[in-house]
Amino acid sequence: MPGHYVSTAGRPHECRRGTQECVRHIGSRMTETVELRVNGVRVQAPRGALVSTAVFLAGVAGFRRSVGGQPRGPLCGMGICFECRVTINGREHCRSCQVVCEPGMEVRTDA
Amino acid sequence: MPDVVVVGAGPAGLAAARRAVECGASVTMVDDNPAAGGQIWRAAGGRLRRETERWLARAELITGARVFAAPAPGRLALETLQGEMEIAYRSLVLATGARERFLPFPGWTLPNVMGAGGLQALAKSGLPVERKKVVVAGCGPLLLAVAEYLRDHGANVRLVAEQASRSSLLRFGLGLAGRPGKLIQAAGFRAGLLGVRYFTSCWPMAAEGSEKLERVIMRRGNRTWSESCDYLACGFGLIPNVELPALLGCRLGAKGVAVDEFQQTSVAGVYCAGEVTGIGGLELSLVEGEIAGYAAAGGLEAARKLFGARESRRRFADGLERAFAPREELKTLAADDTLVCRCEDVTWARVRRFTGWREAKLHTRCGMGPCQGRVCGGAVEFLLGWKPGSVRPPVFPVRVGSLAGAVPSPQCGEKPGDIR
Repeated sequence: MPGHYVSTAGRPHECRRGTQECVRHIGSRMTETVELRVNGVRVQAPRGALVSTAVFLAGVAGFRRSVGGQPRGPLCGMGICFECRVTINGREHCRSCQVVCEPGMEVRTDA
Repeated sequence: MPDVVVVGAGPAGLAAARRAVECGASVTMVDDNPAAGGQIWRAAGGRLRRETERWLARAELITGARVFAAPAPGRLALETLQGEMEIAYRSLVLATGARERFLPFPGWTLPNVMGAGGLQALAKSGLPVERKKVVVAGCGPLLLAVAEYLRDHGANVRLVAEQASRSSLLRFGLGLAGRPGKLIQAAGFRAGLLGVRYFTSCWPMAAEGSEKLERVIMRRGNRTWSESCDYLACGFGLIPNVELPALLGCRLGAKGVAVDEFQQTSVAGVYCAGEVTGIGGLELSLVEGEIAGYAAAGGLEAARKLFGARESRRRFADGLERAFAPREELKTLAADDTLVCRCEDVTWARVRRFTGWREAKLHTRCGMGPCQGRVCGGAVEFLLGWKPGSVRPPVFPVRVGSLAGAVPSPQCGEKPGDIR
């Protein structure tokens, strides 16, 4: 169905291909959202999205500060590099790329 | 006790589990991601997803679980969100896959500079990329797959920069004769990417921006220019995740874990399959997984029938590796103050004074942060030729409670940097 519109992360998106790879199919689970908070700001994240996505949706690029004080964000996206660490529900040093968003989560970045 | 435990639920691990189940074995799979499929089948739609699910149907799957130690022969210690547990096995298949190789250049630590596979993984898990300006750079066929994926999800892919030369790729192209499937796949990527610039002999010199990435300085031949972008997706090939096999005492070869014709490692009853034995791509991973799964469950005859298919896929992988090998110039990208170790903020000038890992670790803490050298290790191996040293548990940072065998309390924060 080329040309159909679906909502991804609250924004309209036009399907470009109409194939199984299109956002509509990737994100059949993503038409629903869950609400959580990032640094106190309410964020609607697609259902099934990772916490790293919610942090980006909150407009935050710097997830943490390095030992030398530099801003850092996700690098590997697969749990190897530990650059995307955040505090989730009070638990420090959680890799945001490995945790799925849950309703009511409290996420804090320190950058 | 399950007959076969498979660590890693990517294509190789799933193939192994499926074949072991077919031989009548009871199988348990363990993966540290929230869902099975590995990186390549992460959030995949269509046929591949269904295949994954079909293969999983008759095996037990434990997700969100990291293997951090091997307390005794035939046993693994896992850390899950619920706490730690032990699992016993008769045969073990390790399909721990690969990670991207990152090379340091000025600005590579800025937020929004990510791996090529890294950005794709985040996009697959919901990161919106619509209308974002993206430069895809580094080496290997992964760049094309990533660029196509991002483009199809609305990203404005400004440029795909392959560091290998055109002549190197053409030599590889000739080697493809007789492999129509691969040719069509390669051509399909190019056709799908019409309108996106694909430069060979081109690589990033520096990433710039204040608190996050704003532009990339690109180089091609003698020309350098600035490319404004929101994301730089940059990876210089893949390196195998050999830490767990090494912890179990498996001998390492030049390209990854050394295995015999049945994918068995130097440790009896422990098999390895997929990228962990050497980078070879999806099709090689699948056939290696099948052989390992059959062999681990005692189906040696069935395993033997697949040796031919594995051999031809290995030759293809070798050609790929030669064609996309990182060039010498990439060793000169890092400036004195460019960080090599991102965990401990150790600069290139400090690291290169030393002659090996041991000395560098003692003096600078390079490679001793939370990632335990998984990021800087691949870079340093390319830049200085240092091979990683021995692996000691825990192979991943874990909560103190897991090490003590106690139930971790929810108040006890995970402090990866505290346990070394």
